[in-house]
Amino acid sequence: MRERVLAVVGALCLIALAIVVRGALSDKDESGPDSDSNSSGSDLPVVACTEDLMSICDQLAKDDHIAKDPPTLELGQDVPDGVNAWITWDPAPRIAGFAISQTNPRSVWTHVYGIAEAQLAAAGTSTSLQSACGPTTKWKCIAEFVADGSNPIGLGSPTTSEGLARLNPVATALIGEESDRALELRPAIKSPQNGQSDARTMSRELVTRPGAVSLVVGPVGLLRPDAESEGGKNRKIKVELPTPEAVANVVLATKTDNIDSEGLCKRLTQTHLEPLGLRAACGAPEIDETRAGFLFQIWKRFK
Amino acid sequence: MTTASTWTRRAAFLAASALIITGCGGGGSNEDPNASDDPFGDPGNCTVIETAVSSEKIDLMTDLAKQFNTSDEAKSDGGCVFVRPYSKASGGATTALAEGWDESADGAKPVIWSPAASSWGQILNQRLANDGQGEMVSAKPVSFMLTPLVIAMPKPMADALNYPETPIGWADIAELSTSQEGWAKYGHPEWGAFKLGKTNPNFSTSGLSALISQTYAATGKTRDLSTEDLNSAKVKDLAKQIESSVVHYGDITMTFLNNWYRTDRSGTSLLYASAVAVEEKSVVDYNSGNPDGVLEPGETPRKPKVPLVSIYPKEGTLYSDSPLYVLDAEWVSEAQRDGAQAFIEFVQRPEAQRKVLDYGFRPANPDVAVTRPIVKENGVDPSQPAKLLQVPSPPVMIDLLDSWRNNRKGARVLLVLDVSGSMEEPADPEDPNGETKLDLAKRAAIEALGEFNSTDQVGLRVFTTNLGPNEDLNYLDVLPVQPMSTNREKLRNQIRNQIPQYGTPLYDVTQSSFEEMTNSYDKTLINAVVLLTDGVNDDGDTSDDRQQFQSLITSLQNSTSGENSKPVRVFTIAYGKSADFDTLEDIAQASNAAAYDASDPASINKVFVAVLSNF
Repeated sequence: MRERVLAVVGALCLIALAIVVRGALSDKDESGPDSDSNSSGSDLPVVACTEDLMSICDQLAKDDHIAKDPPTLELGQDVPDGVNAWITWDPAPRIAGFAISQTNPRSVWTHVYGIAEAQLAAAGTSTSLQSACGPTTKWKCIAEFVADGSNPIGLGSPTTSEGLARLNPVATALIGEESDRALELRPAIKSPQNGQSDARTMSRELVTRPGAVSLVVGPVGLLRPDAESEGGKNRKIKVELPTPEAVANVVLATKTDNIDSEGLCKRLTQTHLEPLGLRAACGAPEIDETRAGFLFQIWKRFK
Repeated sequence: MTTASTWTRRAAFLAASALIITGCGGGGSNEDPNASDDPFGDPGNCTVIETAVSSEKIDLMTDLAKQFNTSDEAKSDGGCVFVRPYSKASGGATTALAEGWDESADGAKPVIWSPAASSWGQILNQRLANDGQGEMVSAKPVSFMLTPLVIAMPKPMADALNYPETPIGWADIAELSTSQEGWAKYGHPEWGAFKLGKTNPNFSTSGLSALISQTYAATGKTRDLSTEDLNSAKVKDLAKQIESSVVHYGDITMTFLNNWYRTDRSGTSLLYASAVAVEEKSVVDYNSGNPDGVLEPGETPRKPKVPLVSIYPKEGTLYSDSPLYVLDAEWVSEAQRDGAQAFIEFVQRPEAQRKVLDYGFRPANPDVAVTRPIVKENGVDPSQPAKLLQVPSPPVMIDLLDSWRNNRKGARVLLVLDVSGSMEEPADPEDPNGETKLDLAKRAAIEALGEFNSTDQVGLRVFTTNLGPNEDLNYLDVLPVQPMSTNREKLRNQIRNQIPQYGTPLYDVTQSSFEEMTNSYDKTLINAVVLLTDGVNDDGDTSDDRQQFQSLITSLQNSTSGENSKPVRVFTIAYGKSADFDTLEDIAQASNAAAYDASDPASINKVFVAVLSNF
């Protein structure tokens, strides 16, 4: 009998907790266009995603964790009214803040919370990886191999959050911290004839279109399945983890601190993350202002 | 195998196409009472997804659409989706979409459009932008399958050039094209001069890709081709050099492949053409004994004696990437958009992508490996191409097409028009008071004259029995072959003046026209006769018909063979239901040209334009 009573009490507690959590996710501030109020008419937060991470937003919306029809949002775009949070790659929120602070000393995204991460890898045919680096793959030799643009590389677009996160290790290896040399990245960035795309697209091009790219940089969990596919094996595609280790983080950026970032992060499952080559990593990310400033300068040069 | 006539498609600048299936372009139910006649069956109340695809993949798409329509993926929320593909040439669809799709001429308005390459999508968006309209297709479409542009060359010739050990590119083709020694330089004087086959870039994807590739080769660039580049002397020079060796152009590569295959039987394929710019898929098909990629019922593939080798140009090449566009057009409903998306996802699955291989294309899904028939023993190399070229920006592509018109090889053409009595019959038998066959043919010929440059030389001959002051001539030279700069207006007037008269002395006029063009042959130009007739040979004496025909075929064949040949191509148009298509096809093939089928007189406009795409 006692157990039954405890079970009922426990169930009631869980319902109450769910109401509280749901309330925490909703936005109560309706004071103006810059507020966290959502325009969906529901209590759920309106969360935008970058295009490459849209499947995360779609899944969260489907599961009623965020408002329906989540919008896409990319660096350089105006944040639509009613958007409370943004799922993107680090350090895009900070870059957006730098961009805004030049004309308006107020940063849009005041809180950044890590939700997932990916170790960055380099994929290529065994021949191209060997030509670039020999037996030991380092970012430095990859950067030198692609520097003049003659060996096309799927590096990431410097105008997108995803692209900046991917090109970070090659850019660092090529020009160090000297952001005024950002234009030296141009030959590599322009090297694929179809232009830079997200890691998934470039990885597929590597496998299916000989001549399109020699190497691709991207999340190891995203590059490996293509390398291990029938087509990848046939083309002898290899995936290497260059040194020093490079990690890209996916973050939830919010305008105010009344969004339960941790709660939202815990709702992300393998189903959401695995197809994107990501692994869950909830927590405050390490802030590297210098790196953010360096990538901001690159973004500014190419946008 | 399909003849060029079967494949005839409309030009880039006129509307029309061989529409296999027509139907309602709107969403929702299809109430068409004729729907049950549709080879796809009745779509019932399903959302119909009209799908315009380039001709080389119509069989594959038909196959996949049939599978999809009966699959669970075609069912959603109590409704269903019904995909209905039809063949539409990429250039023709581009123009139709840019100029406003006319369902009576262009077929059903498509929901999905899949041209051979995404460069057509860029051209479409640019044309729309030039007219102040918004984009209709995505800049980054899903690619369904792939095939690179290659230079197909008979293996003995590739061996003579030491390919693949010695890489070959467009610069080498230019050098071969202008060499006075021709193949003698490589120890084979018996092969004569170097001869190149290239399709017209306004009509054909491989023609467009070849033009882009050769232009890049002249600049030494692999990207960022500019309008300034097009105006540079080295681009113009290389273009002139390459174009100088062109056998003829045309709207489809199948004309070249069929001619190569036919001459292969007689052992003269090396004399017809030394190289043709085609898609890699065509080399696979050719070497499999199926040059046009279509096996008709009862047809058995027979491998050629002399196989082809795919040369991947050393300067780089382009892929035909078969994009799948869901059109951003006012006639596309939300339900159709969702249905189209379901089909696009379906065709990317490994099961569907394995079928792609069966048709000689490369899959776009990494889960399917590029294996047989894309293997070296079929004359192709799956590890190639080593280098790609960037598709030029849309404004540059438009300029490139314009400049090609000035750089292409000139033409010297005798138009031979049937003015026999039967041309007086109504074009539409159900409208006895409507226009006659001659009326339609005259109008089409006059319109098609716009395809000639002012430097092209064109003349007009009409034929019927009892002509001339003594009524003893079988033909009259209305206008001699002269530059269009002086002849254009006269030609229009003279064509307009023609009236139907007596018999059809087909063999006599063909023989004499051919001989006259051979006697005045100009090796710097494409020399050709364009012959339109609506009947069979009828010169009042049937006793010598067989002999006349044999004599004609023999002289046509002789002129195209041998190192000192003077190839005059006889392109024939079988006009109306009574025309003797088989005979006209024999005549065209004997001169290594193509026969065109205009058995429906209403198709004569597009057929004329297709014929003139050879120049």
